[in-house]
Amino acid sequence: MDKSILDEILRQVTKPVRYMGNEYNMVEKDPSKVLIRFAFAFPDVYEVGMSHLGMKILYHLMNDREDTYCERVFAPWTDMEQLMREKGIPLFALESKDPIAEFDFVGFTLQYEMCYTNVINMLDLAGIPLRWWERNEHHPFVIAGGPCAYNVEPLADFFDLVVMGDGEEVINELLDAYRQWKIHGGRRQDFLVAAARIPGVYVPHFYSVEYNDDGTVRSIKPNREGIPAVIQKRVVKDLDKAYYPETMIVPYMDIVHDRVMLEVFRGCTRGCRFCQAGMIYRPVRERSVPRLMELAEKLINNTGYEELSLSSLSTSDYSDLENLVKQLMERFAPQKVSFSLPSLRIDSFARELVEEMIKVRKAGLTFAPEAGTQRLRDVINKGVTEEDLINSVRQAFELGWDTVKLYFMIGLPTETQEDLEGIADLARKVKSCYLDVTGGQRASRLRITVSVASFVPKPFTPFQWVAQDTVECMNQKIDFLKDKLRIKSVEFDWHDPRLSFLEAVFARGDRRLGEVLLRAWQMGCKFDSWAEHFKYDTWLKAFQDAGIDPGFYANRVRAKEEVLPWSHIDVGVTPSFLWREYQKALRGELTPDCRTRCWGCGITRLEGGLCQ
Amino acid sequence: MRLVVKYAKQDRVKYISHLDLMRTLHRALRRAGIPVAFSQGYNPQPRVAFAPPLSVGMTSQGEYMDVMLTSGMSPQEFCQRMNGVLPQGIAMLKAVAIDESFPSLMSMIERALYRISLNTSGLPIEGVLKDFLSRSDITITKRGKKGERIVNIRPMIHRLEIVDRDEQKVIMEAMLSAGGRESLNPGQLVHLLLESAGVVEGSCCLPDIHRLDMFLRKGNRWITPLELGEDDGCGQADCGGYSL
Repeated sequence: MDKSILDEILRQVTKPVRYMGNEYNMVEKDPSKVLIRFAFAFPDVYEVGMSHLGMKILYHLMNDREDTYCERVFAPWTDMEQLMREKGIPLFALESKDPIAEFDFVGFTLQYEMCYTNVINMLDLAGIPLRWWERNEHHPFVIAGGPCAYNVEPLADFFDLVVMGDGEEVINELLDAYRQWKIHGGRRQDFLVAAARIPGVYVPHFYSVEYNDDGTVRSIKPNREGIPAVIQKRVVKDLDKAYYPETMIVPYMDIVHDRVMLEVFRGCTRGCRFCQAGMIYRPVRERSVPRLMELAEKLINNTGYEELSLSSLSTSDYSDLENLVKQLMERFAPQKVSFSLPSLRIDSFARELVEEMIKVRKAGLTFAPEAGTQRLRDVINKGVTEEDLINSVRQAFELGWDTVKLYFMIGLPTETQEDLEGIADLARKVKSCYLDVTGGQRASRLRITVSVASFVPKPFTPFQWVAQDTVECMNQKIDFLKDKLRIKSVEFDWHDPRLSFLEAVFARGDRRLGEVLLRAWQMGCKFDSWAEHFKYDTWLKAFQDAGIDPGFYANRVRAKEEVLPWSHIDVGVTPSFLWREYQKALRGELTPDCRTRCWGCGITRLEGGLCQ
Repeated sequence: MRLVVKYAKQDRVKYISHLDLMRTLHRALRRAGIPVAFSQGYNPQPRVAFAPPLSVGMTSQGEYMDVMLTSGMSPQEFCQRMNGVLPQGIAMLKAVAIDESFPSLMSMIERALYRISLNTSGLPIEGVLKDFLSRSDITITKRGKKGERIVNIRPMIHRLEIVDRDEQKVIMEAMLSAGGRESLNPGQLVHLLLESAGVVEGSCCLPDIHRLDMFLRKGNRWITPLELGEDDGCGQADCGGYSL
């Protein structure tokens, strides 16, 4: 690209550093000396995308291959997009500034449903034909991965292929297959056929979907020979042996998670019934303390970061956490490196641990009781009691915290008014605990934020069959809570229910929604998860124009027998386990942590980790 | 031990803000294993201070930072270690040890010298400049914490002259007030200059602005912060061989 034109437009946009590249540890290669050019695309702005651990892992993994140059591309903010369109600048990769339309692959990571219009917009801005059937030998393969890839059906028209599960091994197998194809030559379809034989690789258009008269799916079948009927996700068996980067790009701008991320384990054994991550990332696989110490040492030295976070779905479940934290503190506290432990569970919020941590620096605290009453917490299998919560906040207050955030969901299955009142009760109890601990001193400093989001039923969870509350119903509940939470020192905020509604539509959507996505994008929808860009009425019009009722996807109870749009995908956890869990939920029965005993979720069919 | 370090911010990094640059340098100090002193308290911060910030989009060969160390280190070693771990476009040019009792760079520095390259095709720039500088009052409205106030910036222009030109461009040098007490942004100066000639600044004629150095008063002389040094420090050749 002409650097002077880029320079001219960067002078006119907000946060030009988003488009600049040249960060410390960015990989530079001579593009003419590699066989494969891969654009790793994150369909949101730089500061969101750069916070994503999966990208950090795969970026360095691919760049360790001599035959491949992996570069990054993010969704340009609207001011930048406008200038790019005016000046005819196609979407380019940050490293080389070359147009991504010239690459071999454009790989999107799908982290949340409301980024789908950005995927379409980025393809358009790149000058890549939007649908797979419009592309030819001159175009990149447009591929996807990430949690939303497990039910990628609403985007089936747009992707050539999709990768399911842990990427560390399958991405190399895919690149090896591509290398063979590129060297030997062949048609576009030939590569896709070869790729579809790699376990974990899904080529949506190799499968035909038929529908019943009532709009539900009748069948999903391969439409050619040699293609598996079921796509099984990939699992990396041993995280100690799995690839992990020893360096990470250090952005100039303040990104959302601006620190070294040390993934201590993958998967979760708790079995919260609303949680998709807890199901799809099974089984639990831990990294060992020596391996983590080795990685921490290299990552801190190579990045110069002042903070390190121990990341996982539930970090306090790490089997040797105290030892790990102790070793990390001993090693890094003299260098003034601080630690953050996101996703601490209330019940194991260990005082000693926190005392250790705040020796260096003090961060905010969020507790997630998820529901207001014990009954409802049992329904969702949260396995946390009011006593756990109060004990934890008491400890926090005793250690000097004045600010806590409590996170809840509304619209959970079986929810009643009593459960909503329970949210306000808990907030009140947390407040009186504070007053008790502080003896009324520093009362003005207390701030309790109650944050609620509307429950979104997700595929591959025990609640994949349930109906979401309507937007009207969720609004009523929020109004009810607004009234109940008029408490001094308590702030209330909530996630827009209209956004949760659309999330629910696309999370459990089928291929017919591709038309809606395209229409919504054509009418200007993008950056939907950014409140200032969310155009709900436009979305409703897109559904109407496509002749599709969004309520069919969000607000409908599914029968046990229904063929779900993702029934050809095997994430390890079986539908029969999920159904059993759903029935137990309705009876309010708990399923304890599966480290205590095996509940037969099905994951052991896949080569597993700690499950045995 | 207190070091004053002169560094360059080149074209490749001209879009990073001052805050971003500070963070970048803090992390580079950690990567380089420099024994930086930290402040006390719950939220210890590295004791690194900076000279007056450079606006986003400008380049410089005369930036300064002021680093407090817990143990001794030669200025040469400091530059070498830092230059091994910096992103492309940021380079440590020279460091000197200074007396720890000096006030902050921000409060000592009073002037900055800029080189301004401006596309002036068709504009009688000499005349414009002459008229502009002949005014005794060039007022602007500054928005600050205490609300709006009218400021005369003419006294903040100590020198503004054309040093080179071709058919399309003129190169000017400007010595302007900079620092904690009063300062004039060269971007704003160009804007005012063009405005006085009736030119509405558009993307076509955005100037390239480059800071050459910063100065402080020592007795009746103007010196650069490096001249505060107790010893000669490293020669410029050791640190990348930059010269004005």
